Amino acid sequence: MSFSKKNTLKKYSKIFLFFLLSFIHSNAQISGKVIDKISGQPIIGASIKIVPSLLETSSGFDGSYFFKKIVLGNYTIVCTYIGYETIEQPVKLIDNKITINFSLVEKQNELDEVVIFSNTDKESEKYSLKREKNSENVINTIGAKTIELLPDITTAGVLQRISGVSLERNSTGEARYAIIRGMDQRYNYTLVNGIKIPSPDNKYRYVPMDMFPSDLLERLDVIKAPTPDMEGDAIGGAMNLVMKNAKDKLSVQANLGSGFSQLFIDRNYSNFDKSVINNNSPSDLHGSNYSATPNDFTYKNFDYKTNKLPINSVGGISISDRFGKKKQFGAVVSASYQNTFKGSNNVWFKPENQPAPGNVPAFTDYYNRKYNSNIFRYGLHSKLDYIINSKNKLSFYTVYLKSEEAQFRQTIDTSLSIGRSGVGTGNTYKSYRSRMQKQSIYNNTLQGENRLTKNFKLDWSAVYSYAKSETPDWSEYQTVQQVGYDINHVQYATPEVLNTPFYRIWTKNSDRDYAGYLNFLYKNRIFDKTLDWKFGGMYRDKLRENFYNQWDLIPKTSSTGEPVTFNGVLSPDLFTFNGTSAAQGSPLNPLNYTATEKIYALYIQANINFSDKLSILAGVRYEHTEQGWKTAQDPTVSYGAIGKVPYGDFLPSIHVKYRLSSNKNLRLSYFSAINRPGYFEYIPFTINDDNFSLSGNPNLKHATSNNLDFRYEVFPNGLDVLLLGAFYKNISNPIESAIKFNGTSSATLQPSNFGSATNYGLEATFAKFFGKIGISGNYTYTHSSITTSKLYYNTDYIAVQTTQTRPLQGQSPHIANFSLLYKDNHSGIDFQLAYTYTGTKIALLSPYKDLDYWQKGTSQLDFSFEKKFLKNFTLYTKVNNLLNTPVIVQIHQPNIYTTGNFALPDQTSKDRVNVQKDYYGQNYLIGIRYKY
Amino acid sequence: MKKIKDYSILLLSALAITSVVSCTKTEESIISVPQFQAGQEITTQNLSGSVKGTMTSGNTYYFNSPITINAGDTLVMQSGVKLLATAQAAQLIVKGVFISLGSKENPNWITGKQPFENPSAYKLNTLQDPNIDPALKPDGKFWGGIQCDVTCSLLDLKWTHLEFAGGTASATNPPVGYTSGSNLFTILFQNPNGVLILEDSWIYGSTTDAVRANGGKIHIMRNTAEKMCYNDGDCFNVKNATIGDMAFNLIIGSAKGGTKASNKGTYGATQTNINMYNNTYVSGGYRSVDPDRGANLNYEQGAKGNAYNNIMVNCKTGLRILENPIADVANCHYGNNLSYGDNISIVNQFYPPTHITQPQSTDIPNPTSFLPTGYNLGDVYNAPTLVGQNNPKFVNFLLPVPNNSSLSLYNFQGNYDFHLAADSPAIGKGNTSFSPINATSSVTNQYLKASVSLPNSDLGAFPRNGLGNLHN
Repeated sequence: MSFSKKNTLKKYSKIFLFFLLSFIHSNAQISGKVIDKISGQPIIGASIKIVPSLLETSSGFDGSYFFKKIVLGNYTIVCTYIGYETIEQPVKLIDNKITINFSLVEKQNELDEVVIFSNTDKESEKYSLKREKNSENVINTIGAKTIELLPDITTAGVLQRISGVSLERNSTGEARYAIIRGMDQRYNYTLVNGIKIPSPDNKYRYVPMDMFPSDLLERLDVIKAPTPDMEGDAIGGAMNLVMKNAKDKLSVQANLGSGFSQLFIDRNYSNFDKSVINNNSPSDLHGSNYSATPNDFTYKNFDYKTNKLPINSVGGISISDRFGKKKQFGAVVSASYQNTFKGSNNVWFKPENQPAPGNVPAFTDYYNRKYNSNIFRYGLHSKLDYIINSKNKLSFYTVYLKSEEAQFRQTIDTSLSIGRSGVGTGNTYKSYRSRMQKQSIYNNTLQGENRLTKNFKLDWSAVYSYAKSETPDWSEYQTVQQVGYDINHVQYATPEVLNTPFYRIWTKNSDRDYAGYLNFLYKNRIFDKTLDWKFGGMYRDKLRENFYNQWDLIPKTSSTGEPVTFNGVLSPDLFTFNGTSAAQGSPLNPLNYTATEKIYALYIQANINFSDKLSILAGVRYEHTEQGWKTAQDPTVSYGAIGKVPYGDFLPSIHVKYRLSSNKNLRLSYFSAINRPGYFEYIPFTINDDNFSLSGNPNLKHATSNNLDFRYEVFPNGLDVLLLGAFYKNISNPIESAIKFNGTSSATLQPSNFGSATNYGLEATFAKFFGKIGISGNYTYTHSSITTSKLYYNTDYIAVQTTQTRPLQGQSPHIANFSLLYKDNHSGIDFQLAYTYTGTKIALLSPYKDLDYWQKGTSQLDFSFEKKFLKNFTLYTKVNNLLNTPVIVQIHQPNIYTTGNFALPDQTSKDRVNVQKDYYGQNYLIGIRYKY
Repeated sequence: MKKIKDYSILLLSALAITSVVSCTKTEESIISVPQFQAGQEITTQNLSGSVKGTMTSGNTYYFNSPITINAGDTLVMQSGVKLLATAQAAQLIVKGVFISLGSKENPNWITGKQPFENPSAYKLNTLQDPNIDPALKPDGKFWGGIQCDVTCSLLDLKWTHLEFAGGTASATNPPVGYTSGSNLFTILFQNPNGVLILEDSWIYGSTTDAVRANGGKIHIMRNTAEKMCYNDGDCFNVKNATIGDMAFNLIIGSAKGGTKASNKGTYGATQTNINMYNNTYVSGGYRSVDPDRGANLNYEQGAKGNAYNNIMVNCKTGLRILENPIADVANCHYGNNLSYGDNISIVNQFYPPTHITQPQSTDIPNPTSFLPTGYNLGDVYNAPTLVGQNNPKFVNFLLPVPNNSSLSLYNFQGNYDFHLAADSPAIGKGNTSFSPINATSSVTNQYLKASVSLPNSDLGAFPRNGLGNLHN
């Protein structure tokens, strides 16, 4: 709270007096509690000042505060909290101990008629809890204040702290995609300010959540039971990223941090220079009929420079203010920047694409990989709003997110098959992959809110979004040599030669999205009950474009036809193409396609408050979808080159909330939802993936589901909370990757519909605070089941068709989070120790029965610390992955590889075969945050 | 009609001569037979789009783009038909049935127009640098091979020259079984219930495997394959539920393997079962970039069969029975194979180290003469005395080769003659106690059915009794 200059002078003189007095006598105490007058709930973080003095504190988790050693005398105790009226309480300190409680009243905003203009601090923990408590459906919320203290710097990291959410990680351990209650990323969608945004991913529609720097967030909601006014493709749920909003006064937040990864203390970091990458392929430059020569490619992208300890840097600034006479103009501008260096050390056994007879797991290769990644992310976000009058409001929102990852992957690949007769024999391959991936998401939303009558209101949004991804000149070369023992049992290695192929791939994909939303709200009263109607619709038009172009260089032979010894220096004269068409690359192949999606939706819902205790929100949504695609293939030659799939779904839902008491709720929700096939999944391609060949399925159907949710909520006081829930989902036509039987002998993994799947589970969330210390946690049990086709390779060397029942891919039965929090407003010290457990889950589906790759349950421990200083500054530290827990992947089969000639490394169990082990190392970050 | 009259005159005179010359020998009648025909005669010279019917005897046809034989349709080439490619995109897509019935006197040709008209510029019979040899250099292909879809029930090629096929699969519309841009096999077959007959034919130059069968009932007999692949590919390579015989073939100068069987990728009800007998392999396996590939006889992952009576001359490695992933070792039977090498590294690979080929006492040389006592399967051994020993004594192929440092370049037949000379140690050393698989016996039509040559008591593709490879 600001003081005028006059007041300040007065204040200082009083302080001086106070100091004088304090020498005389100083042992009185003041303590008390700050609560919300209406709800009786404790208020956390309210400021309590003793005037005139420098003494200031803030209320703890349970609303309590405490001053000691105060000089007796006359004071005014000032209690302030954002969004609440300030209370000034004169006090005459004559006693040793005195208790003063404050009951704060929420400020009545002059524009409070329009509810969304409310002025509460939406970033606070308190607000998050209120949202969870007061919403009509099942949601979990986490606010910016909590996010700041989390050890995470991306939204993906934050998500894993939310009950029922687990994360898919990428090769450097970066959390990327969210799995909600065991429902794979495909079943969830991402909203920014309530608007669905497209994904830059080249295969799927789900959005990489690590692209969002967490410091742009005001709060993050995970909606587990969507209402009819929300888009219906949320069988798992929806994540809504609410970006920072304009504050009612000038507010500046800035943050600057720096850190490093422990991995690069233990080993060097090396990577290529991003600037040498050719963004344009030979056919981009010279046309698709151009026959490239090896001279058309750079070889400098394989010059790796080593750096001892690369330093991460993160920074962000957010400025917001309101202008005008009535503060009718609001603006918030945020920018965020992260430049991080990450890596991992990885061991991986590539499965033989056919097991040994008896369906025994077999492997072709043992990979030892080192990843080095430089991830550069930045985000810009701005929101302008204009409160035209008490009835009309406009806002214009822009976000631009960009990430650029340069990754060097070094592989030493020991062949476990042909030529290996024991340790130290066989082929050894060394591969060097340079890959740059650029991804961006752009979104522009113009939103309006108009009050037509006292009870009738409408809001609308016009949206343009564009997501893009590129991997220019993604390439990898490989050398091979044979290792063995000579007649004298001395180990030898043949000279390294270049192996085939040496691929150079350019991919580009984009997703353009126009959308319009229109919602009407009508407040009504029937028989003295409030009845809120909401109806409206949306329209979306998407255009997806995908480009893929690949050149395979092959090494030249010597003049006698034998391989040439590689001297370690790549140059164009070492390579050639297998004919003219190879030299032209593959500018027109099935991975070049455009896909379209046109969706319109209409809905109506009513929210009736039958009594103070019972409210019901019910309604129905109709979504009509038309997905289409067109590949570069000739439709008269290739099946499914062009396609169109229209379908419509009625999606009813009902959300019942019963207030057992002022701080206890019971909720019951039913909703139906759909899951649309990814654009890529329809495309009739066949590509050879790392392990199996993959193909699309033009005959894919969309999945539908019925979902039930039940939740019991207790909000005892303050931030304490207990949520107990259960859910049940039944999915028809779920899309899962499985082996395709097409009458030929080459089997491929293909997305297909499989009858029905069920998924049910229990959820518990709790938080309990004792003054400065708090504990919070959540636990989710999920059980899912699906039956799909598989192969069984029997001892007669014949693979027979069979089926296997298994959990959904990526679903862990047990997910738990546990946090220990400490918050001392007096010293300005906060810390948090956060533990995450993700139970075992299928990481890779095998076409063969019971040979799926299972990720072992993993624990991760993270730590963060904050100390406020100089009023507006905070020093923070975040340590991720404290215990450097490895990710271990196993096949649940008897392990025949523990002994003998074909014993494999890293085998510890008799009934599990270890097939992958990744270490990411700890990540440290230290920084300063400024808030004004 | 005129043609038939001509033939009749020819036949009558032939009969007259024969009756005079052979009055005391067993009677051998030569009677004219009509040519096999299916559907309509093809009247157009330039083929494109969907084709079916019969390409009539002695005629020349051209194609410059993929031509398709639809499922249910049949395309027949009578004897002496030339199908010449005028552009690299020329290709045969077989969804139905394709039959090429050349004869010894009037073989058929599917090749590029240029090499057909000017063979001396394209088919070089001297030691050549593979980087410039038209048959091997990566950009030297004239058409895209015979690509059989999963619906192809019969591919039947007799006395047919398949030359200079390969390149890479169409980026836009790759044939079934390929991904965009992948290397094209000269023949891809992928119907486990279909029949592939390739006999008495010639395959010359390729980009990758001459024949790749992912399933099928096959008969690959008495063929000559020269100069297969630049640096990545085998000659006859089968996987997944493929059964049949590969016998009496001359395979000379292949980049990697000669004959190879694997049960990889099977989910049919049949285990891969391939007999490899009486083949002659020369100078094979050197152009493989992968140091551990290039065996001339191979049984891999779950495959079984009989491998007898083969001759390997200056091949990179001998018969390989894989341990990992393991072949169906209990049902792999082999022996009576003759190996010859002009240098120490070849002879030390007669039983390739790291593999589990069981040395057989019927092999030449006898393993007991050079393997150390205590030899375990797959052990490294050193047998310098074998260099130049057990020369199979071909009629015309000088051993040791004159240019020992370039022995991999002896990759063509030319004027060489791989028949056994009268004093060849390969004579009479064969095993005749096993039977061919004869997997294509369901084809009984006299024109179409396979002619199976039985295991011979002489080794190699050219036994003394003339009942082997009929070329040259």
